[in-house]
Amino acid sequence: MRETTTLSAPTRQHYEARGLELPREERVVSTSGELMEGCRELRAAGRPSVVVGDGQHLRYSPAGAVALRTEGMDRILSIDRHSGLVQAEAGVRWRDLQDALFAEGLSAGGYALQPSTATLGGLLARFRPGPKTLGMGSVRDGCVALSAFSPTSGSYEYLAAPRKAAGPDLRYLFIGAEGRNGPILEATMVARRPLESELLIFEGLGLNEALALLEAIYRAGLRWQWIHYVASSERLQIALSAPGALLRGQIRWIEANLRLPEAHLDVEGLRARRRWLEDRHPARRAHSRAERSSGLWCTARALQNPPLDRSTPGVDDLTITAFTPDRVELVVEHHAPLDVPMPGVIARWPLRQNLPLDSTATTELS
Amino acid sequence: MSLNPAPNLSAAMQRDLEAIVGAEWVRYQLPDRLAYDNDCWPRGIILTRGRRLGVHRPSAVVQPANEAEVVELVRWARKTGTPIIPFGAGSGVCGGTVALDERAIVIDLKRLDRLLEADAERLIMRAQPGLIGMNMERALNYRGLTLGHFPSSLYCSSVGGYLAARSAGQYSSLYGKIEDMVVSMRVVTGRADVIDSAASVRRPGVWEGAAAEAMAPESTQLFVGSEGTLGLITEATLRLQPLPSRQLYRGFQFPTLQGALDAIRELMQQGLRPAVVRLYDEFDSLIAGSGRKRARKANTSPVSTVPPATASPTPSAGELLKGLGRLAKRTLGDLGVAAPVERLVDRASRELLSRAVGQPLLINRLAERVPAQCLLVIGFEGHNELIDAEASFAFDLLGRYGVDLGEGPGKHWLKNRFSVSYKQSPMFDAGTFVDTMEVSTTWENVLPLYEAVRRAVEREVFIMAHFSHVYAEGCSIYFTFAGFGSDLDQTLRTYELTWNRALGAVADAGGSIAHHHGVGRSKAAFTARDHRGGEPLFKGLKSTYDPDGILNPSKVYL
Ligand SMILES: Cc1cc2nc3c(=O)[nH]c(=O)nc-3n(C[C@H](O)[C@H](O)[C@H](O)COP(=O)(O)OP(=O)(O)OC[C@H]3O[C@@H](n4cnc5c(N)ncnc54)[C@H](O)[C@@H]3O)c2cc1C
Ligand SMILES: Cc1cc2nc3c(=O)[nH]c(=O)nc-3n(C[C@H](O)[C@H](O)[C@H](O)COP(=O)(O)OP(=O)(O)OC[C@H]3O[C@@H](n4cnc5c(N)ncnc54)[C@H](O)[C@@H]3O)c2cc1C
Repeated sequence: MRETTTLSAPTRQHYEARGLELPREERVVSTSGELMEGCRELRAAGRPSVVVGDGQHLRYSPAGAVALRTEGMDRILSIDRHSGLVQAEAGVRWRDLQDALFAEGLSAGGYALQPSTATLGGLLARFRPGPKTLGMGSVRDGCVALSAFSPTSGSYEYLAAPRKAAGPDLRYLFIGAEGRNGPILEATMVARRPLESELLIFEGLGLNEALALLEAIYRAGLRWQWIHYVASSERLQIALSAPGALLRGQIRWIEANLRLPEAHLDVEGLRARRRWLEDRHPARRAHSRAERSSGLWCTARALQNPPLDRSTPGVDDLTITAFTPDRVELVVEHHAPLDVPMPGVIARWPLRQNLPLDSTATTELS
Repeated sequence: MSLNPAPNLSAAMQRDLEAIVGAEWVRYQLPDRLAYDNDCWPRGIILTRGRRLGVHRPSAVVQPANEAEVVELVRWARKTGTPIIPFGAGSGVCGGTVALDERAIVIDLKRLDRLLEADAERLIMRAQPGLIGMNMERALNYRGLTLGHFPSSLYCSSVGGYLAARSAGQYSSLYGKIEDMVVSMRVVTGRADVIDSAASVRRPGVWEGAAAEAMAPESTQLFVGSEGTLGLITEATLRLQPLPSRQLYRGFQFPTLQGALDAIRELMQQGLRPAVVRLYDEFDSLIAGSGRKRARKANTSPVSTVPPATASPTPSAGELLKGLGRLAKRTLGDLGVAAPVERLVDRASRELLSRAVGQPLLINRLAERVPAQCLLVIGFEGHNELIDAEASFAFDLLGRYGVDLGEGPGKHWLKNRFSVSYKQSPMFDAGTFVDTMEVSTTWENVLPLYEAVRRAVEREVFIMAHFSHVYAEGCSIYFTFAGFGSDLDQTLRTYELTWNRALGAVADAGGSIAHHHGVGRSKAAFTARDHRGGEPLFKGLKSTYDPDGILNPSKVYL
């Protein structure tokens, strides 16, 4: 374990780039054992700690705390091709996980867009209120098992078997808990077989048109791998994946019944586009405009009535990253407080929060 | 037993309860309490048929009309230290609603049975917990919607029960299990607080009490599957789907179980989304043969195989009997001892059944010798020609591994999927019992686990299985077993031995002990095998939400 009491320049840079206050001390752990030991020791000494993955979505300020950085826990532990499962340590970065699967002839392409540098533990533990979204590429839904450590209760292991009904799903004491109940150590994720894929690019779509198109595709029973819509460029990108014959049928159906895309990208182009978007997404603390961005969940209607779009005072841009009829997930960039009345908003939160570590965090609710 | 034993509750306590819900909604009479002596736990049925009544009877049954009354009841129970057992429709098969303490009261939530909202635009519904599945589905269908949750018990189970026991419907491959559908819940905790899990992480809508501070971040997923041990669900918001307009069903026959499982795995890992996938092992397929004649008459299938006539977790006495008889005929015929067996088969049905089930090892071993085939029922549901294309892609794929039986078996299953048999009593009277165990595991472990369980209990019970609820990474195995004891005590011993061996084999083989029936009382000793190190975490949840330990004690964890 590497300990730093006087923070080095690169370490300081890590926090400053994300608009985070500096921790009192940083420890970079490289095994689950070290991480558990660190948690135990700090608890016994009554010292506050924060688990840090890539630090892109910390909401609690590490100021005054010991940061336990997990990036050294980056091993892929096993890949089971038969069952389509990958087991990895929590500090593995999203891009590295994708590359490791690709090398084994498997794919993480079924998952929604995530920041390339995010860690598996951070993706699972991050703040993300809301229900499961089966078949929509959520990392949480692809998590078949995990192990974690609670400083008060000890180690915990959830068995790798699909959809159990053996009492409450205790994983959810760690998933979405932002490390406050203890660290996630390892996770087992579904890894799919690579199928034929295609990216449909629709240009010149206003926000309402984009929402209507997504809704029509959803109601037709089609499920995409991921979507990305940016209001300023009026571009909607939809990644579809299926066995070849079916994929072509799906695209023909969209073209015949809904709208002709302006461009298609094949699997290679799609992969490159995905990497590009994952490197640049605004939902990261390190993004140049993160200070002026909020995560927002609302119904599609909440975006229309009264309209929340680029014409809304104070709003610069909107990026939609997930859609179901009951919930649109987007990042809103704004140069003034977002104080438009929005019935139908489920939750909204500034991307760069610095909540005091001992507080109970709040989400702005309508 | 006296018909009017002295009530366990003092007169003052009775008055308290009556003041909360009204005198007509509190029941202390013995017949009422006996009616809640058991849910559908077969162990309870064995006791009842053996005339051992009232083992688990509660002290009273209370039927609140709304959430406010539930809060008052919990407040009262805290004050008096009375255990509470939440009760939906009592279709649970693991003893989740049985009273283990004679002071316990049952809170029956059936009066909270309203569909509060069905929003076709947002595809969301809100319902009270006592709403019965079929009533809900009919109301939704009327609006062109569906929840997509179809347990075989749809007519006799409730929304609250689904959520509390992490239920799975027959269409789980398409719509998911109930935990995939739930958006949020309102729950009355053991502190008599009301929590709205929709109000979100870290700022739950707690009206009263201290639970807000300690609220778990993802409380929805923690309350799902808590089987009444953390709170009483008083309302749920769930995701809906548009009602599909097209249904495509087929049957396939496979020479081996392995081949059939490979085909299904292939299908799921190619990202296809069938609504229904049910594969019956050789023995279950054989038992299924009782529907053969009907299928032929209907001229639906060129080959005679049809799935079991019921979708019940326990086949009816008649079905199992006919199946076992046929099995005995065939297998013993192979060994040249057909005639005596045939005579046996023709004898009084109950007696034969008892004898057949009384020789489990013989039947199991003989059944393994039968050159039988496995039957698969598969169905797709959707809205347009996209689903036709997906179905025909899947049928082509399956056709490479097995024989296409046409629409007949699928249609037959569809027609009979709720023809559930609740009438096992003749079997139970004869000393025979039937029970089911639904477990899950990843694909590489499916056959080893299946074999391990068969070997573990082959001396105790006749055992067969089907494989349903399939995912990209694995599936559930649904074992049905039938055993026999010469008297009540022996039957109980065999029953308990079977369960211990079977669950032990599942856990040792790395499978989950429950896929959708929950844990209740019957599997509570094994829960920790699914959640290593989970017990202290569960205790932590209990101290947050039920500090007095009044909610469904000794369920889920012993
Ligand atoms: C398209 C897109 C959509 C996005 N949508 C959302 C969204 O809806 N909601 C959202 O919150 N973010 C969203 N993000 C942000 C992104 O998901 C986060 O930046 C990322 O998940 C954080 O990963 P990280 O490794 O940087 O974690 P960190 O920022 O380091 O950690 C995140 C949280 O998890 C904790 N943590 C980290 N590792 C562990 C561990 N091993 N065990 C326990 N706790 C740990 C940390 O203490 C912290 O509280 C989105 C990003 C993109 C690109
Ligand atoms: C013939 C038959 C077929 C079946 N088929 C299926 C099937 O296909 N799929 C499946 O998943 N299950 C099936 N089951 C099992 C059973 O139907 C499910 O477990 C169902 O979810 C139980 O619902 P219920 O309303 O009857 O709950 P109950 O049996 O009343 O209760 C089940 C558990 O939930 C708790 N509970 C009930 N309501 C609440 C509430 N509002 N708040 C808190 N806790 C509560 C109870 O205390 C108990 O622990 C079947 C059972 C039978 C008898």
